[in-house]
Amino acid sequence: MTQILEILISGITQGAVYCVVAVGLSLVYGASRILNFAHGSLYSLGGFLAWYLVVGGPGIPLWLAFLLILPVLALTGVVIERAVIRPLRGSDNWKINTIMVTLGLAFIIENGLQLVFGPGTRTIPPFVEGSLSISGITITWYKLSIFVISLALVGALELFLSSTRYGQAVRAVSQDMQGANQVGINVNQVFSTTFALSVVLTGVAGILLAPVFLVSPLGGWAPFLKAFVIVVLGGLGSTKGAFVAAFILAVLEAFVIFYIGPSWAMPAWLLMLIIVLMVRPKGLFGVWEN
Amino acid sequence: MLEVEGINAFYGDFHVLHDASLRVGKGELVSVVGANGHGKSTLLKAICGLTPVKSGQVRFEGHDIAGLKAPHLVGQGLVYVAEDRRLFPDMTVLENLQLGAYLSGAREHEKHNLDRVFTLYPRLAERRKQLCRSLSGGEAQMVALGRGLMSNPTLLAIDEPSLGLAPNLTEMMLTTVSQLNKDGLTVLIVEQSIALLKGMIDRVYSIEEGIVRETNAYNMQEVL
Amino acid sequence: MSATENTPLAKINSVFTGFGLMHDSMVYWAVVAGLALLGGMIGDSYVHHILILVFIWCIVIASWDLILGYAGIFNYAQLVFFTFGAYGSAMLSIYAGLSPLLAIAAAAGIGAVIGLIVAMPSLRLKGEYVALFTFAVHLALPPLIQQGKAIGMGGNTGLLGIPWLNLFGYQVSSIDKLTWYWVALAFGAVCVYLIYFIVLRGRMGLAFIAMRDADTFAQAIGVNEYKYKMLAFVVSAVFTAVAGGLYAHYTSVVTPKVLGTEFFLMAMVMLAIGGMGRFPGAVLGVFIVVIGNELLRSFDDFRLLLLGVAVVLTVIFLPNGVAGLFAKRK
Repeated sequence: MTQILEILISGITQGAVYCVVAVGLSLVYGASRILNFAHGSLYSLGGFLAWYLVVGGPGIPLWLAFLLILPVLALTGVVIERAVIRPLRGSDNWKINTIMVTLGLAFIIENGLQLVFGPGTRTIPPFVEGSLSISGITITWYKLSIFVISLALVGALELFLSSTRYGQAVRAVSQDMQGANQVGINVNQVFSTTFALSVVLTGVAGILLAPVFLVSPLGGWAPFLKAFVIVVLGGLGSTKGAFVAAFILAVLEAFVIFYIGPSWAMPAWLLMLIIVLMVRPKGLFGVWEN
Repeated sequence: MLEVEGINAFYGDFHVLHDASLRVGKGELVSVVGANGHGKSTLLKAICGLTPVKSGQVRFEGHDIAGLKAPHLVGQGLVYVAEDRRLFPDMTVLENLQLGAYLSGAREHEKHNLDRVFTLYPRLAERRKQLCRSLSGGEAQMVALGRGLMSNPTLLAIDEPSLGLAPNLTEMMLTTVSQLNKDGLTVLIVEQSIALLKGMIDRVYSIEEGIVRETNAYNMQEVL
Repeated sequence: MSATENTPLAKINSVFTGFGLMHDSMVYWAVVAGLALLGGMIGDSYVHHILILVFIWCIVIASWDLILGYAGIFNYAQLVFFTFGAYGSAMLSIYAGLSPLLAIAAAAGIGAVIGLIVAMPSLRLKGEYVALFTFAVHLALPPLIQQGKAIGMGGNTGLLGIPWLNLFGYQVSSIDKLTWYWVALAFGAVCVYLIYFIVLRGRMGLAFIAMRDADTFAQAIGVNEYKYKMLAFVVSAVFTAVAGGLYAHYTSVVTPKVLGTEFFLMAMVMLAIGGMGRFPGAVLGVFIVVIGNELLRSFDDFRLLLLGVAVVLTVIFLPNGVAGLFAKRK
């Protein structure tokens, strides 16, 4: 019983971070219909930048590293959108071209990281040590704190989208681009903003999970695929859906890892993806897709 | 207020507008009438910066605006209401209206304009919390027009408001347009049939295969 | 509909060349003959090796072009088909003692099955979902190959000592580059011909073009979209599996590296640089990239990075690839 509870808790804490990666992915897809295949590599980028600042380089505290990395991630997002995505907008094979370009970008980031930092895996010490024990169930303070931070991030995003005028504009662009144009929304600016936010979200998730998983140049594909499955189950563009789906899937994953083995985690996600797509192609709360 | 001179526009390789010219004076209600597929919508979209203008001049309140994009023109008071409404389906009526006042210029008048829209269409006030996805065609058209008004326009360009509406709803829509015009709003409206606009327009242009001509309203009625 | 019934399908001109099938076929086989002669004149076995790889890649990329460029299905599981072809053929010849040529034929069958399996969920999805799903299959395969160690897939080290090709009693060793050159050229030329000249200029190609350019029109005239998309997967997978089998018997080693970043990137660059859905763009892309990749060997550390940059730059600045350049000049 204790064991099952521990697996459950581990799944839930993990799920919160996956949710951060997932809402980042769905934010960009919702606004600009771009499935960013470099999303996972940007997750790795976050982890590596943090590793460099905290461990490999100047050795500053993690919170300071966060403050320094956030603007870098946001800027990366804007640059990618401006330099790589925007030139393709309106071209003939827009969809396939964006897939090609973002995949290419993923490989550039991956191999760039490998060149700069070397191919090995890295880790960052957690910013809090120790663990909490309640009636035999143990959970580290670190996992608890990344759980809280992740919830706060997702909550903040949801609040931004639902209650600010700019958040409204983001939703407007995702629902009807011409309509957004007509009321005076600068659609290109919204694209850049969502891209920046998305990269920040996935990069932060990469930093938060660095002490739990390891950071490696190719390590972004797993969270990316997981995020995608979450987004599909939750319904593209639905933050609420992603939230629920992240917990369901992460808990399932935790059980698969415990009872069958870690190398089955990825095939299990793939199987879940197939089942989800078969049973509920529009996801639990899918609203944006027309 | 609006002077269009010899504009040309294309849809892909297809030449849609041929040297189109028209003029709308302050406080006027001017109409462009023509059958489907003859370039009415393209003309309106070209003026409002939603379709690129290949050549020619568009002046709005003395400024050359040809080539400027819609988001910019909305800020200057040139507002477009689309024939296919272009509402945000998964947002409430109120949110759609609020987004009409997205730009800071319109934001200043947001409260006043919202009152105006709700007075004009009390039904929208009742349904303010309803998602636009679930509105009827007539209600959706009210939101579209209301959203245009929320942008605080000096010239409202309305694209075929009767599209898909029952005759009594069309009449109601056009009556409010006429009322808005009498209250001082300049309007450029596009319709398929002049019969609908009888008695409310100051001047009328006909458009046929992308060629625009000013027409005497009386003649026009005979032609149709 | 009547138009397609009255027009002999074989007469449909290539979108690219604008000439008839006979004319294009003659040019094609003349080029192949030229390459065959060229093989005899080349003395350097390293150059042979590079060109053998080019010919094998041509099959893979032509198959990918068929499904991605012509059928418009965003399939990214191409190397999965390749891997199944390579492993299947290798295992059948190692464990079941099948002669390599038979094993390659069997690999084609395996490819068909795998193509079908990947197609079924994919065809329920649209656009970029297909891309992600198929790419996920690609990513999920290496850990499964690890698991497959139990059934003789060799895990990380892969399969070694795959039997050489046996042609009419003659063992073609990997060192015999000249014979391999002709074998790979023959396989490559036939497969590419079948793909671009038979399949794509036939009813299937017509259906693809109709589906890609005018989806609703295609449905209106009764093109069974599901059937043709399924066929696209199967045909593409069959040819790619043949290439995989050929590759296995040529190198006599298969490891999970065939699913690694390098192969995938190479394939992407080939298609991007060549241009999708515009024969002979993709095939030219293979020549350019394999040869370019060899010239870049000295930059080994940066090579993968440069390949990534090449993908991004070509898509942005040369959206229709090399084939697009030719088309413009026309």
